[in-house]
Amino acid sequence: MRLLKFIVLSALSLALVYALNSSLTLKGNALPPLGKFFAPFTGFWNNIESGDTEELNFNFEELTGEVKVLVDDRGVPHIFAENIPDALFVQGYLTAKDRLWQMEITHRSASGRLSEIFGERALKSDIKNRRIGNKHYAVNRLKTWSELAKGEEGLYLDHYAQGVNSYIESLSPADLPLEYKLFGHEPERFSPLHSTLIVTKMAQRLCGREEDLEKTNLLALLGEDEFNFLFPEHNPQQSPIVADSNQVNTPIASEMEMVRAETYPFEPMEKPNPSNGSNNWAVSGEKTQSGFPILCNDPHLGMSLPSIWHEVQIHTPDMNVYGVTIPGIPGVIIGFNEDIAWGVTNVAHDVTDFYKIKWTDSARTKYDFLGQEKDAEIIFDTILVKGQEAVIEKLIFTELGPVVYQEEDHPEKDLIMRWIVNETPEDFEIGTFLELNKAKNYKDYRKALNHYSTPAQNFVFADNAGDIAITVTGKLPKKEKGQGRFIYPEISEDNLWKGYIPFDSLPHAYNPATNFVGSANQRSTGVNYPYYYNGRFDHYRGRILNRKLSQMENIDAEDMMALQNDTESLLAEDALPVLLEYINTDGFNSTEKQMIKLLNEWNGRFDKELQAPVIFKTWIYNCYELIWDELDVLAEKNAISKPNMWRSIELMKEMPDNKYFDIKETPVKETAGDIIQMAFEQSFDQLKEELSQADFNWGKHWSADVKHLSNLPAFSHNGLETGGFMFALNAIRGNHGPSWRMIVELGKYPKAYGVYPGGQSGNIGSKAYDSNLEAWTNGEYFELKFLKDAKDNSFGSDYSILNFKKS
Amino acid sequence: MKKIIHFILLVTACLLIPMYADWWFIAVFGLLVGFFIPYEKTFSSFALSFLFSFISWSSYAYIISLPNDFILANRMAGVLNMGAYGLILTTGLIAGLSTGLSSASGHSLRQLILRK
Repeated sequence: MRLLKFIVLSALSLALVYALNSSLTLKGNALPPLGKFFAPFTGFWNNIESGDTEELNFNFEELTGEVKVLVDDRGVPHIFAENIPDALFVQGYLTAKDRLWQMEITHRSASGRLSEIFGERALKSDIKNRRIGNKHYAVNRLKTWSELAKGEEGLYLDHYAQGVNSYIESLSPADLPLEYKLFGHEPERFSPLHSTLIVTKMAQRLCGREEDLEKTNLLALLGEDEFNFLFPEHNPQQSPIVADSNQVNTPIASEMEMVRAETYPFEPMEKPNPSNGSNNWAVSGEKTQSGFPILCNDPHLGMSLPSIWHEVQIHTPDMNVYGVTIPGIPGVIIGFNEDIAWGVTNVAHDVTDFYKIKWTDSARTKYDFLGQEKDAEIIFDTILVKGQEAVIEKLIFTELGPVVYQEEDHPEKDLIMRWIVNETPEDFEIGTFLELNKAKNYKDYRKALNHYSTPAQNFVFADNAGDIAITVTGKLPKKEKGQGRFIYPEISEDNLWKGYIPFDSLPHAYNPATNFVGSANQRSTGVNYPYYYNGRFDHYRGRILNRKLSQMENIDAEDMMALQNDTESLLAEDALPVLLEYINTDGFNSTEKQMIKLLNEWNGRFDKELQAPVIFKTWIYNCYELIWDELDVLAEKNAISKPNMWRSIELMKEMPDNKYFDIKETPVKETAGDIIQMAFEQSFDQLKEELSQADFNWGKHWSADVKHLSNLPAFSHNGLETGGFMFALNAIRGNHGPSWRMIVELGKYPKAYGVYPGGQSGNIGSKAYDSNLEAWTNGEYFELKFLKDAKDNSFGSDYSILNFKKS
Repeated sequence: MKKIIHFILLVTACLLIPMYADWWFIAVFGLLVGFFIPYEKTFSSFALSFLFSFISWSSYAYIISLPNDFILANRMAGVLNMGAYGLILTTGLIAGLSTGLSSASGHSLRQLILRK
């Protein structure tokens, strides 16, 4: 009896300990071993931060001098170092302290190694990133960078990586960031290659967008005339970044023939979010209260926790810079120093092309390249997947790029992707930002930009000498007119890029008569610019930005905050009159009449408390779907693009009898007016439930989500009610929007304001995890504590102090 | 007296062990406590070990959550679909069950060997 009791109790006890020590799966999610995860001092409880200020000392043999760091109340480190290598070492250390897991996830995402951590759900993205060869090309880029970088700057990435690794080495398993404990992995040593991969990831977000496959399919299905009718290259309403940019160098005069189009059966690769974009502008002293320029920037990117940006001040004897960077990239990417300020928006040119490969053997190992037979480089790459067997992926690389689309039965349809980011660099681009960090005037700014290549950016500039400027910067291919919009049927001299647009011919403006410069991802230039380019451009934000800036006078920082948070969209100005003109309200019920009344009284602003924007947005999108429904029928299983919203509105206004307004399934021939009427009725049906709720408004309808990188809802802030719309300056859409809002008032000493939707710390156990989020949601800013030196107490003395010394 | 020693031993051991060894050594410790502290009934050994280690882990979690305004507790609790207090109680429960059951095993071993 006693024996039995002992056996039963011991078995129970062992079973329990065994269960608590194993990974369990709950609703498809693997949980870490619970005993270890909950244990005091080692499990997740150990990641709690009290947030008290403290003074700590660190000793590292990599340092050459002393580095003092003041960490302010929002967790921003102000690094005071005797030289740049020491400063970057400490920046690496402190960024890792705040964001180690994020850095690892970002570079793993670029190199296609997420499945190791998240299992099968990350496999599709991993396969894509392996196939397009991110790591393959990052290795090449880093190798070339090391050869090109001169002197001290050649080691920037190494100092930063050493700092990150010193932090990793200081961690015991109990100190690991919480996500490592939750997902059961360990930090990998950081290297310059990881920084390079993080640059690739950023480039993918910004200049990885193309629609060549979809456009080619549609061209084949529609024919040339019909295609050109639906996709005109120029929007007559466009308000470009540099209107009078006709800098000459010999452009290419010839015109590319439309390709012999055929359809391709591929499922297009996952694309970067179409809402990736940004605004930046600078106004000269003529337009400001202070008489000095003001510079503003708000990059629109994925909003996540931890945030994509990390704030920092770096002070050395020859540089004092403040701003934000992407964890993993040293220095400051967007910011200001004592003399200048700069900001970036994305250049939306198409820098990706696809070529049909001509295999010369049946095994698909050799191909024709300009008349020569070449061997493709074939790699069998192993993707480790948590919880299941590894997957072997065949990667194929050619002279022009990876083979990204492969068709089992039709080798003649296989496609090579050429992406400008994969070209061997001609300069050490990371150096651009460090040069900007040190720049003192317009000349230094232009000199720094000359080294920049990808992803191409519109660099806006202002300095305390009163200069303002903007430059469309980066490596952009020289193309024949019409080149690069469709899949090339073959690789030929004619089909290749004709070099790159020289730096002095890139569109730029310097102290223009308008007294402002700005960009919002619209076309770079007016139609008279001699170089051809195509791309996916903004059609609404650029126009309203230029209009508003030209009207503003006597500007101060608050006016600029209001402009960054401006929710007015020209989509309403363009489309609402035509909707209201055609709508026939006979027989409308009281709710429908009320909807029309709200729209008649509406000011075109997408403010959170309004109801009209919900009705308008639903209505115009229903119109859009109804107009282009026949393209889906035509496409069958082929991927296609649909015309732009601006073109759809233009057709409604100018050609209301066009055949695209006819709905094929009905016996009568519909016109734009019928579509508008039908779309309204659809909108009423979709919205009537929402409309009947008392607190119905745009803020609830269009709420923003800021998600943790793992998508765990408990670590995310979803459903934030804020105004804005992707076609307004405050370009919010779901989990996309202004990822950093910065305003710099130049002057004897600059005064700056900033906010991003997150917090400095990536630790969910820290108050600084999301401490900026509320201010961001409300459109408020923090004054940035830009310190003159380590003793500067003009912003109080509430700092934690970290002393780094050589050991 | 027995109970006070039992209390002090378990509360401190449950906190110290995870710092220096795998967490499941608390169950090994529970086994020893169950064997050497001579309670009349196995149930007493179980219940008191459960209670003391429960107190140890859950009050640790509660006390360190105070200056943090329960930020971590609330967020982690969300992952497991519970509240912050639920998470703190779960923490106690893991220690409580592990040491409680092992103490009961230890006590039954004592009864088996000493044949009292």
